[in-house]
Amino acid sequence: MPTSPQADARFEEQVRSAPFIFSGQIVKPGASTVATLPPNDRLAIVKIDTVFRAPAVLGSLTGKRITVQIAAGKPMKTGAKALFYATSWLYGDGIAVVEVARADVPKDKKDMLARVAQAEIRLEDNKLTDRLSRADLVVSGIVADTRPVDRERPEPRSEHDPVWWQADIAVDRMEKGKVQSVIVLAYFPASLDEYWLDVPKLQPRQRGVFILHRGADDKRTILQPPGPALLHPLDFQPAVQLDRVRALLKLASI
Amino acid sequence: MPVTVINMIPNSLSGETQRDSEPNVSVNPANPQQIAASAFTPDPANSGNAPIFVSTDGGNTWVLNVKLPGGNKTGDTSLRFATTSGVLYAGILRSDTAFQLNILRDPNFTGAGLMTTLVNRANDDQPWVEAVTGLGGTGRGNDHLYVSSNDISQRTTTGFTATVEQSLDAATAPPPAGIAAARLEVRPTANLGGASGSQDGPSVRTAVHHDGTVYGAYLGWRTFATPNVTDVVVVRDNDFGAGATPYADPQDGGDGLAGVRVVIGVQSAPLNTTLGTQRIGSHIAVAVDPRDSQTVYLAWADGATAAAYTVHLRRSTDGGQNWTGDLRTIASATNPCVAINVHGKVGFMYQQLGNPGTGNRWRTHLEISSDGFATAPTDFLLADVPDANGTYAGTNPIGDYANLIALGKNVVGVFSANNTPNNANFPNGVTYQRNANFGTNTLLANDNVTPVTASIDPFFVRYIDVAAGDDFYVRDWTDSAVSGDTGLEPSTHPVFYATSDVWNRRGTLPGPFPNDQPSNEDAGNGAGNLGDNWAFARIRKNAPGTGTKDVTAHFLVSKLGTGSNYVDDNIIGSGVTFGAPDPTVTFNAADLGPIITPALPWHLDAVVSTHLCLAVEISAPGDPFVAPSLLGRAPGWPTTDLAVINDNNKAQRNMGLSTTSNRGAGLTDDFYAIVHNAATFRRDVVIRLNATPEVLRRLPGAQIVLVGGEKTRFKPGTEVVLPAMDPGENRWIGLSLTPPKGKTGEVLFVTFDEMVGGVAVNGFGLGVRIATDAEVVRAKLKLHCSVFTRLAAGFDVHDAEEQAKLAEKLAAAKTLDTKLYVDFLRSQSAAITRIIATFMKGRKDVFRISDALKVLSRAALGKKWEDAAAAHASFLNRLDSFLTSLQLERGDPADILQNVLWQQDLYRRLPSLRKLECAKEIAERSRAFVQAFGGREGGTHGYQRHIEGLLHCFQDTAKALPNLGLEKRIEEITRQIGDQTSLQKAHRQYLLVLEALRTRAQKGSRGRKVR
Repeated sequence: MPTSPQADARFEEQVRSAPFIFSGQIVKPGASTVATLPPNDRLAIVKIDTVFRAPAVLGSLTGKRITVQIAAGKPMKTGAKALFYATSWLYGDGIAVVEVARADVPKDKKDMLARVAQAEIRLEDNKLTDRLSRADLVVSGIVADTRPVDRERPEPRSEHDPVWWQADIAVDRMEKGKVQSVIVLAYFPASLDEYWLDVPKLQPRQRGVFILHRGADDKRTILQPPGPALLHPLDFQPAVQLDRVRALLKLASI
Repeated sequence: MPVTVINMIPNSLSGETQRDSEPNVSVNPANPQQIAASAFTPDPANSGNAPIFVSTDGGNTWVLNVKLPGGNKTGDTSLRFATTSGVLYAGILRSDTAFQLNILRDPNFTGAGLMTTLVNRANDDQPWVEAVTGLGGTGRGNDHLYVSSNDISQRTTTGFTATVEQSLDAATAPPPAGIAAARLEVRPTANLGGASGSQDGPSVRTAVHHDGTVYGAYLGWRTFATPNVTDVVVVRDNDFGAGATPYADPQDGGDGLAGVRVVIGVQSAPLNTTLGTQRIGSHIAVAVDPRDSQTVYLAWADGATAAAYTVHLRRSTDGGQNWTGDLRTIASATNPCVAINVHGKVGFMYQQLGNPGTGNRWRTHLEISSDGFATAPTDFLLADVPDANGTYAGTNPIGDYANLIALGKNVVGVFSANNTPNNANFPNGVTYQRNANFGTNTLLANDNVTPVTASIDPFFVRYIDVAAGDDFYVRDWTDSAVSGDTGLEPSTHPVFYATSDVWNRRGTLPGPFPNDQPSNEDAGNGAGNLGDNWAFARIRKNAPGTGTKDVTAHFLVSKLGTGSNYVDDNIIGSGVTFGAPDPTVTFNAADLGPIITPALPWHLDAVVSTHLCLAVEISAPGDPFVAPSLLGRAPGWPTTDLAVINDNNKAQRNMGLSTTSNRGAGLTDDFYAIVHNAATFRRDVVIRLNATPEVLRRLPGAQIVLVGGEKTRFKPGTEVVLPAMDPGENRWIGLSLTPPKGKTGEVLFVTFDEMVGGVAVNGFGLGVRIATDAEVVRAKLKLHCSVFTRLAAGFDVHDAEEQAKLAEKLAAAKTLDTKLYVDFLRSQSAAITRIIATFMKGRKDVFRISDALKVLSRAALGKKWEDAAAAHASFLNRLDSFLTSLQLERGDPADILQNVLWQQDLYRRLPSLRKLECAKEIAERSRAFVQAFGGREGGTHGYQRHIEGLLHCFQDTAKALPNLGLEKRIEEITRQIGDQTSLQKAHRQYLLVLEALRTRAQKGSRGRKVR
């Protein structure tokens, strides 16, 4: 278990950069499990022993063989066991990943699983904290009503237009920022275009935390919202997350 | 079944449930097994970057490769490989920043790591990439990149948002790799209201032809409303968009502005309209015929409402100026795609909403027409899947576009559809990589047990124009009995002109096949049986077929070297006569061959050199050779790019071998070949030298000879540049070597590849064939006979005839030994010296024939007959090449087609010629001549008539450009009508003046950027 904040931060950074974390044994250097990937001396087939982090869509990888592009200068002796930190590369009949770091196989696998899980939670918290810190208003409350912004000119100019809708949010509490009214007018993109598909589409009686941005934020350029708006999948948090949101606001002194 | 449909989701992602819609695809023309594709598919690991689909087996299996920056999935994405570089280009909208365009590049699309960002610009929509490697026009040899899009940064300035961002050299230059914007729109666009500015529709497309013609197609929005009002506009550039005012053609007959409005003021549904659950409102596609850059197809969709939304397909055969009515009209359809293969077959794909009473269904059709839709096309229903009423009920299920492209004879595409594993949904069959149970119509997760919800997947479709059972081919190469060309297109061997299955013999039998390679014999020339030859080809089939098929072989010859245009007896004055109809072989259903064609007799006149290339093009029912024919052309030029390696119905043998003693020799044997600029513009011709390590070891002193220049050591991998060669210009390159010792029958040769943009478009080999003493002396005597026959017949050197006869007589002797041979050389030395001295009088001895003769005279008196034979060959080869050069100075009927293509190119591209009233007539007449020629129907018979018909245009040109002195050239043309050879020369002299004008114009515009 890391004992210092610096060690925690280092570990968190390793987890952030490695969607794949697994222990395993190098069974065949210079080989590949992916048909389209010709063998070369940077590749090795690793038999996975324990998965600590991997995309769920891949199912269980335990016991499977995976191709690893070994980091420059790292050894790849047959039979060597290690803990691999890797990032995404190829998904075919087999899987290939790119090694970003390596460590000894942890003696206590449960402890390692817990550390990874904690790091993932911290990473998710960091993402939400980032949204909170960028926000102009953070409101807990309930959606009273929704409607299109401009009933006169509904035609989009691009397939990627956000198609702004308004939502009246009855405020329970202002978590960040100030407004005079008990109703906050919030905007959200109603478009189901690929850009906006994951951004929350508010519905009447929806209760939770609304993280609102007056500027275009990272979805910048010509998409300046007409008012405080939801722009990101994390910009709405269900009511059960309220305590977490408040804790993060406090922790970050927002 | 010519159509194959493959679900592209890899097996390791069997559990995925994404909306993988709006797909795009590109095949690497340099290796058609390599394919890249895209869809709205996220990185399963959420790495912050997005994947593309990669196949290295022609689309049978797919892998996701994380290559795109800008988020776990991208927005709009399109991909293209350039023709020969293997570089993949992409245009994407990043998903982490709305409307943020990235233009990307990657020379290794299968490797790890992100693509290189060339451009990162805000405010753009729907980028669409096209790329070619230019073999002509401006920036030839470079990758030309075109990223068309709706550049909405222009909304509040010009409103001309239909844009193409382009670079004429995108492959390696550091970012932004010369990429600059050209506006396609020139008319006022739709006012968006308030301060929002104005714009065109989102979809903007280009189509690029290798000859430099680039089409742009866009929806010129005029009114922004419900519905929108739009023009459908096509613009064209004739030189890769390189000029100062690109995309200025064709002009609309109504308003005179650049870009023809194919339809004007049609209604189009607003972009929030849905057909079924799919968004519609902006769809256009354009494709150019690879055989003829003036033939272009356009597809688009319009209609005020979802109910009225209709796809249209039209064609222009005059570069976009005039258009047919609807060739196809498809109601309730979207995502039109069009592609044209090298046989001119048109693929037309679209997705149509239908409701059989059980809910809306998306039906993806691929129509194939072989007659330009004059008759009903063959319709393949690729998918018939639920819209929103099935297991997937999301929105925009198929995306704003699909994609169809042609590569060679085949057509491939991608579309998105509901992925429920139900055979009834895929009437032409389907293959899944992901786990699926077609019995229970259930997708299964990676454990092959857990059910997975249906979603949207991308599907790859491949249309094979020629089935393996109908696919006949002639090998471009054979290395050994177990290693040879299997008919792949393009063929894979770097030397595709040395061991091919087309060959010449001096008798009616096909000869032996050492290492399974045909034994070619040098042609003979002269009267009677001296000039009798027999051509052979060996034909194979890719797989058992059905029924009996007759395959016909057509043979052609050209001068030895690279770039010389092929001739047959359709070319008057070529000196070549084929003595029988094209031979035919019959394949039964199960036959794979090889079957050798019956001996085709052909005759070479006395005046023609025996240093030749031989080509064959075969045709079978359902498998014709790819037009145009090689007749009047050379592989690689001017638009039949890589004709031989891309078409397995064609093969050529470009080899010059000197027969030498197995004991080697001390003196050098020099051999020459022609480098002919077969392009339609002035260029530096680059020849790359190569040889195997074994050949290098055996030929240690080999040297390269540039006629008129110095000898240099032969170094493999080095490139020889022949600068500023005019179209039709010939130069000579030679190999000087000391014949090595070796085994009888061995062949040692070095290769000379003609390089364009890093790719060998043509080439030839020069070397030695090691033989017995008797074979060597007989070969030298035959060559002596051949060259002196030419001297006598073509240059009225009467004493030369006696030399030919003596050599012929001795060569025919039953007993021939080296002593008799040396005696011949000694006895004839004085006579030969006298003949050459007389002949060379007043002529510049650029081949150093006199020096070679002195060496021969000395060697003949020496002790080693092998040295005499080497010196004899060197002398004869120099003299032979000199005779050819003198003949070519009189004109060359082989270059008639090249002249016409060059003329067409000049009047199409050069602004000062293009604006002439007669330019259109010249273009049309040239095009008609070229088309007739390409079908081997016209040959040169119509050349004189063609020139006579254009004389008034030439005179108009002379009047419009009075300072060029064209009048004298036209007078000369007029004088030479009646003689094809001298007419070709006079015509070329006229064109050279115009070419010089082009060179000056290009120098003047050098460094100017596109706007």
